[in-house]
Amino acid sequence: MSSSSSKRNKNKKKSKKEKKGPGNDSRYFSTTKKGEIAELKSELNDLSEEVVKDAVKKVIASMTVGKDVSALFPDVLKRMTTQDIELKKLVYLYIITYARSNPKVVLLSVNSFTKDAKHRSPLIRALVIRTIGCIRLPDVVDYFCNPLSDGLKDQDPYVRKTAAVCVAKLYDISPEAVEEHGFLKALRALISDENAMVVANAVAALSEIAESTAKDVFKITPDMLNKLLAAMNECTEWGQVFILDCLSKYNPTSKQAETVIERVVPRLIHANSAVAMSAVKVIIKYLDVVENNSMRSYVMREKIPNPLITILSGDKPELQYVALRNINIILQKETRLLDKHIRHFFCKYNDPLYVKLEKLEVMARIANNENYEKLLMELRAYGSEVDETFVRKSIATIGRVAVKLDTAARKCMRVLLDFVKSNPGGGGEGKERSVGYVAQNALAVMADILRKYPNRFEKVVEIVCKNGMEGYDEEGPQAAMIWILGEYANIIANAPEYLEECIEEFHDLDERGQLALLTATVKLFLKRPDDGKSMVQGLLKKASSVVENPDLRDRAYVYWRMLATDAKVAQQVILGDKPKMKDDTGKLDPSVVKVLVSNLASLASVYHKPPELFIHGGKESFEFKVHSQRDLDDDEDEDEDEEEDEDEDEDEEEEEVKETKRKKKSSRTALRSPPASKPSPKPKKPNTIDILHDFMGDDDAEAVEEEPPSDLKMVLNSSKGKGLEILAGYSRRDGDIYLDMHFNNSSSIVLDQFAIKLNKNFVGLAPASGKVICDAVPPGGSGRASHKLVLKPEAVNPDMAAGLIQIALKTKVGVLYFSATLNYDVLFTENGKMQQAKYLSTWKGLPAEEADIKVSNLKIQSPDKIKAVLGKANVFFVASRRAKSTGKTHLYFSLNANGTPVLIELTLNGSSLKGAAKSKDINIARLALAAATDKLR
Amino acid sequence: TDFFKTSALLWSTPNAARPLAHQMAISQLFLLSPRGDSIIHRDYRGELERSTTEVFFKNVKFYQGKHQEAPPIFNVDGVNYMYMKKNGIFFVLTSIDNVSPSLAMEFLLRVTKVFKDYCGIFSEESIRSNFILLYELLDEIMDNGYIQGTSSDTLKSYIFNEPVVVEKKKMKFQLPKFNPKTTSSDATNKPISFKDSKTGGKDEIFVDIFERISITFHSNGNVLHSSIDGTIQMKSYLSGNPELKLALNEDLTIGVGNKTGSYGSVEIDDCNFHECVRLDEFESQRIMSFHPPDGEFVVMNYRITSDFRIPFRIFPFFELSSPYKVELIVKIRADIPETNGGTNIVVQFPVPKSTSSVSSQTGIGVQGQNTEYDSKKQMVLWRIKKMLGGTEHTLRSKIVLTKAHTNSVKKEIGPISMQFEVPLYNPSSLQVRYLRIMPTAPGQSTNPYRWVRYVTKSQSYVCRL
Repeated sequence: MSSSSSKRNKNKKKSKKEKKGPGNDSRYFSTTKKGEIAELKSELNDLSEEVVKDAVKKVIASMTVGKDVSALFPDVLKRMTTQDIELKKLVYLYIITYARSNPKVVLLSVNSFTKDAKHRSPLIRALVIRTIGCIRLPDVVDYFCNPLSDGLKDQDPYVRKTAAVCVAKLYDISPEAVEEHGFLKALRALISDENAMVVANAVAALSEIAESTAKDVFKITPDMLNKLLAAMNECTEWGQVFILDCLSKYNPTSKQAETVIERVVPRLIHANSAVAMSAVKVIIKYLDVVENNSMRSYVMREKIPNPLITILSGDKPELQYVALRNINIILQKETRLLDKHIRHFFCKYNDPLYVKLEKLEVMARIANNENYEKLLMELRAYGSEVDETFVRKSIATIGRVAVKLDTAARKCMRVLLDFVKSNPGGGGEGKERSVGYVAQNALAVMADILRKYPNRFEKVVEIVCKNGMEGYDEEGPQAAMIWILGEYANIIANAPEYLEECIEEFHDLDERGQLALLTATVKLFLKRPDDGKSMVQGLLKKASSVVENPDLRDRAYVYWRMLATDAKVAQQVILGDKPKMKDDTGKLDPSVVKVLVSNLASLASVYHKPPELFIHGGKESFEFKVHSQRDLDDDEDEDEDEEEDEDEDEDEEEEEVKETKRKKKSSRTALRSPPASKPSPKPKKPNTIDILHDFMGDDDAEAVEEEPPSDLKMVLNSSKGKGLEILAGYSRRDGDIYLDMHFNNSSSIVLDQFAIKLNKNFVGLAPASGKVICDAVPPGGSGRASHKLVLKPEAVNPDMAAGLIQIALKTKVGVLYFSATLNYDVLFTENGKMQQAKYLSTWKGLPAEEADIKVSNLKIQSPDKIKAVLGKANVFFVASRRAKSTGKTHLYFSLNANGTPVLIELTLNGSSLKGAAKSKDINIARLALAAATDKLR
Repeated sequence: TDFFKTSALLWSTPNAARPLAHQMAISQLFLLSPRGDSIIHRDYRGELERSTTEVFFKNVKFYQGKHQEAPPIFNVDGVNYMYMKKNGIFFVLTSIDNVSPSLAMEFLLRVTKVFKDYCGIFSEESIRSNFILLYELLDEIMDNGYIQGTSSDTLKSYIFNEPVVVEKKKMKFQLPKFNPKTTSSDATNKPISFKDSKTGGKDEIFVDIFERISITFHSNGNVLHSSIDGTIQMKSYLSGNPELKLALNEDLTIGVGNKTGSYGSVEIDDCNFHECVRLDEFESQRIMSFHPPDGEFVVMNYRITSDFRIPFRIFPFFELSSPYKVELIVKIRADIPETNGGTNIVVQFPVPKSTSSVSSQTGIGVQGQNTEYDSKKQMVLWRIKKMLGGTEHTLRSKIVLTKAHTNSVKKEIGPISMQFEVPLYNPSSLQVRYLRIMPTAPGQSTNPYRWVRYVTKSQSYVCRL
C-alpha cells in the first residue's frame, strides 16, 4: 500500500513539474527509462483505479510510438473486469490497437468479451462487437457469432449500427460463417430499421459484401429506390452522400428520373459540398433519360451552375480544386453550361497554384465569342504575376483562345505582341542579353496562331522578327522563331542571315530546334533559291553526316532526295497546305468523357482517368502489357511527317499533349471489351492437351476435356476470385516448365485476355511472357491454359518459403491473387543421368552432410516400378544393390536440379523406404529428395 | 521488378484485390507534424501498411510536378492520398477505393472542427495532450472506413475522456478594442461544455457573420470586379437543445436578375444551408429555424456580386524621375463608416527584377505604420496597424534600378495586393434582424448571452498597374 501511494505522489510531482495539469496526455510520451515496464506493471496492479487509468494511458502512448509493451498485456487484460466505464473503454482502446498488430495474443481475452457482450451499457456491448471485428483471425469466428447475432437484434440502435458494420468485417474473414448464421438476412432486415444510422450502415455493409462476391446480395429495385429517397431526408449529411451515390448506379425510366431529380434538387444547396457534388452527379445522369426537354434545360441552366460556383467561392482551396476538376468534365458534355459565368473563374490573388491552373483550364473551355474580351483582359493581367508557372500557362491559354475562336485571334495576337514588345532583350552581355521569358513564350504561342491562320498576320511577323533569334534562349520559343523565319522567308528580308546564324549554332539547338531549322532552311531555299542554295547544301550535309539523331538524319535524307529528284514536287510537298490545327489540350476522348461523367464526384473525376486505371488492379499500379495496346501505338505513330515541327509549344504543353495521347490510348484499351460472341484469336501453342494428357498417363481423353486434371489443386475459390475458380499445378514438358491452370467461370462475363505475374520466389521462376494464351472462357464454362515459365536469376528471392509461388493473374474481373505450391521435381532437367563411375567419385567429393527422409506405406514398392516412375520425372536410375544380410534393396539415382547435381540413395525395406541425398547445397538435396520420394507415396 | 513490394498494399490481405465498384471506404486517417512525424494514426481496415505515412510525406515534401504545392489529392501505387493542412499539421486520408473526393475533404474539415471543439484550440501540443481522447473520438467518428457521424453534439454521449486545455500563446500585442461590449475572440477557444450542462459553463451562443471580400481595381481606381463570399457561423454553448430562430434582412433577394428588391436591399447570388436549417419561413420572412448542434457549425454560406460599398480604395501613381529611378506612390482610402476601423492592414507589391534598392516613406508624423523591402522576394511591404473610416494614408517608394527602365516597367511592378480586417462591419449590409431562443419548457424564460459579430476580411484584394 505504501509503495503505491508513494508512486502516486511521484506522479503528482512529475506532472507539477511540467505545469500542464494532471490530465495532460503528452507526458505519457516522455522517454522510456530502464525499468519502465516494471513500474507500469506495478501501477497496472494498483488498487486505485485512477492509478490504473493513468498506467493504461501510458501503455497506449508507448504503443502508438511503436514501443513494445506486449509484456504488459496480461496485466491490462486483468483490468477488463472493472466496473468503471472509463477504464473499461481504455482497456478496449488498448486491445483494439493491439488487435491490429498482434491478433493472436488478443485471443486470450475472448472469454471476457463474451461476458461484456451482455453488459448493461450499450456502449460496452457495442465496444465488444467493434473490437472483435478488428481481430482478423479465422480462429475467432466462433466467438464472433453469438455476440454479433445478439448485437444485430439489440434494442439499442448504437449497438445495431455497430453490429451491421461488423458483419462486413466478418465476411472478409469468413464468408461461410456469415452465410451459416444467416447474417445477410439479418442485415437486409436492418434496411427497414427505424434508425437512419443503422440503415446507412446496413446499406454500406451490404454493398461491400456485394462487391466481394459475384452474388446479388444488394441490388436497387424500384421499391428500394423509394425507400432510399425516403431515407435520404432522415440521414446525416454523410448518409445522404452514400444514398445519392447508390442512386447514381440505378438506371431509371424517364418518369422515375423526373421524380428523383425533383427530390434531389434541394440537396444542391446543402452546405456540405460532398452532398451537392453527389447531387449534381445524380441529376446529370438522370437528365439523360428525361424525355421532358423543358425540364432538362431548366434544371441544367437554372439549378446546376450556381451550386457549383458557390463551392468555388468558399475559402477551402481543396474543395475548389475538386469542383474545378469536375466542372472541367461536365463542360466537355455540356459545353455551354457556364458561358455566362466566366468571371467566377477569374483567378484570385491568393488562390494556390493548383487552383489557378485549373481555373485557366476551365476558362479556356468556357471561352466563346461573347465573353472572350473579358477573359483576354484577365489573361493579359496575369502576365505580370510573379509565379512563372502560372504566367506561362496564362500565355498558353491566350493561344488556346485564339485557336478556338476565329474572331478572337486578332485581339489575342495584340496581347501577345504587347508581351513581346514589353519584354525585349537588353543590350548587355550573357544572361542580361536574353529576352524575358514572357516574351519568349508569347512568341511561341504566336507561332501557333500563325499556323492556324496563315497569311493573316504578316505585319506582326515583321515586327517580332525584327531582331531574329537575338536573345532567344528557351528551346520551345527558339524552334518557334525558326519556324516563323522559314514559313515567312518571303517577307522577312533578313531571314537568310538569321537562319545562317542559327546554322552556325546548330549543335547548340535542341532536337526540336534542329528539326525546325532543317525544314525552315529548305523552305527558304524553295522560296528564295538564290539566298538559300549554299545554306541548304551545307545544312543537309551536316544533318546527314555529322548528326547521330536518326530522326534528323532521315529527314535530311528525305529532303535531299526530294530536292535532287524534282524541285517542283518538293515545293508542292513542303510548301503545301498544312492540316488545320485545333485546340484539344486536355480534351478527352468522348468515350472517356462518358465514363468520367458517370464517375463525377469520385476520384476518377479528379484524376480524369477511368477508375480501373488507378484503383488497385488497374494498369497503372501493375504494369501489365496487353498486346492490343501495341496495335494502337502503331496507329498513333503514322501521322507524323511534316507536322512534326508543329510541336513548338513550350515544354509543358507538349508534355500535356503527350499525356493526353497516352491517356486516350490507355483508356481506349481499357474500355475496349470485345463482344462476348467473338472468340479470341487461335492460340499458337503446342498441342497442350495431348501432351498434358500423355504426361499424366490418363487414358480417358474425354474426361480431360470436361474435368479439371486431378493433378491440379484448387488455388482460388470462386468467391475470392470474383466468380472465377482456379485450379493450378506445374508440369515439365520438353525441358520447359509450365504452369497449368484450369478455370471455372461462374461470373457473368466472358473471360479472356489474361495476364500473369509471379512474385519473386525461392527458385526464381518467372513467366516467359506476360500474356496468357487461353481460349475465351464463357460464363458457366471452363477453360485451361498452360503457361510457360522460365528461371531467371533476377526473380530469385532466397527469403521466400521454398515451395511458395505467389501469382497475380489479371482478368476481366480484376487482378486475382493466389499462391500455387511448387512441386520441386519440375526443376529436374533431362540431362541428369550420371555414369556409375562418375556417380561414385561425385558422391565422395560432396560434403558429408546428407538429407534424409523416411517413407512408410509406399504406394509403389517394386524396384522396377520405382525406376520407371522416377525416370519419368527425370530422376535417373544409376545402380542397384541388394544387401544379402539385411534383405534390403539399395537403389541409386542421379538428377540435375536446374544445374545442381543431386545424388540419391533409396533403401527399400518392404513397404517402407529410407532415402538419403547429397548435393553441394544441402537445401537443394532436401527439396529434391522430398520431391522424388513424393512420387512414390 | 518486384511489383508486390513496390506497392504499399498488403499482400496477405484476402481482400486485397477488390473490384472497381464505387465504394466509400477510407483506409486510414493520420495526422503528421510539419516534420513528418506521425502524431495520430488510425487504421480502419487493415488493408494498407503503415508506411503510407512516409510515402505521403515524401510526395508532398518533394513534389516535383508542375504544381509547386502538391495538389490535395494524388495517387501513388494504387493508394489514394487526400490531405489538408491545418495549422501546419497534415490531416491525411488514404483509400484504395474510388471514393468521393469532396466527401473526403469535407470529412477532414469536420474532423478538424471536432478536434477543435473537444480540445479548445488546435495545435500540435493540444493534440499530443489529448491523444487518448482523440483516439476515442476517431473510433466513434468512423467504423470500418465508413463515416459514423461528425457532430460534436452526438459524439459527446460516447466520449469519456476529459479534454486538457492547452493555453494559447499570448499574442505580442492585443488587438485594439473598438467596443468594450464584445467578448474577446478567444471566447470561442474553449472546449464545448459536454458532460453536464447544468453545472457547466455559461449559457451563451456566438453568431459570426464573416464576409471575405475580393476586389480587382484598375490602375485608375475603377473596380473591375468585386465579390463577397459570406458565411454565417455559429457556436452554441446553450443548455438543453432549444429551437432558434435567426432572422435576416426582410428585403433580402436571392438569385441574379431577380431585381425585385428596392434600392439598397441586399442581393445574394446564391446560398446554401446547414442540414439542420428549416426554411419554411425563409421564402416569406427570411427566417431560418433550427436546433443548433453543439460546437461550431456553418448555418449558411452566401455569395454576392452585386454592387456594395467598397471598404478600401487603392490609388497608385507613377513618377518616372530618371532612367534608373521609378517612384510609386500608393494611396489608400478607408471608405467605411467613421466609427469603424480596419486593422492588421498589409499592402504589398513586387518590384522589377533589376531593382537594386528601394526606400519607402510613409506620411510625416504618422504612427503605427512601418515599411519593409524584402530583397529576396523583391517585395515591398507596408503595414498599418489601424486605420479609421474616412482617413487615408500614402506610401512613397523610390525604386532604384540597375538598368534603364523601359515603357514596360509598370508591368513589372505590381499588382498591389492588400490584406485587412474590419471588425463590427460588413459591406453587404446583411444583418441579423434577431436571434430568438425558443423556450424549451413552457413558462421558462431563458436569456442566454447572444454574441453577434460582424467581421470583414480581405480575400483577393488587388490593384492592377
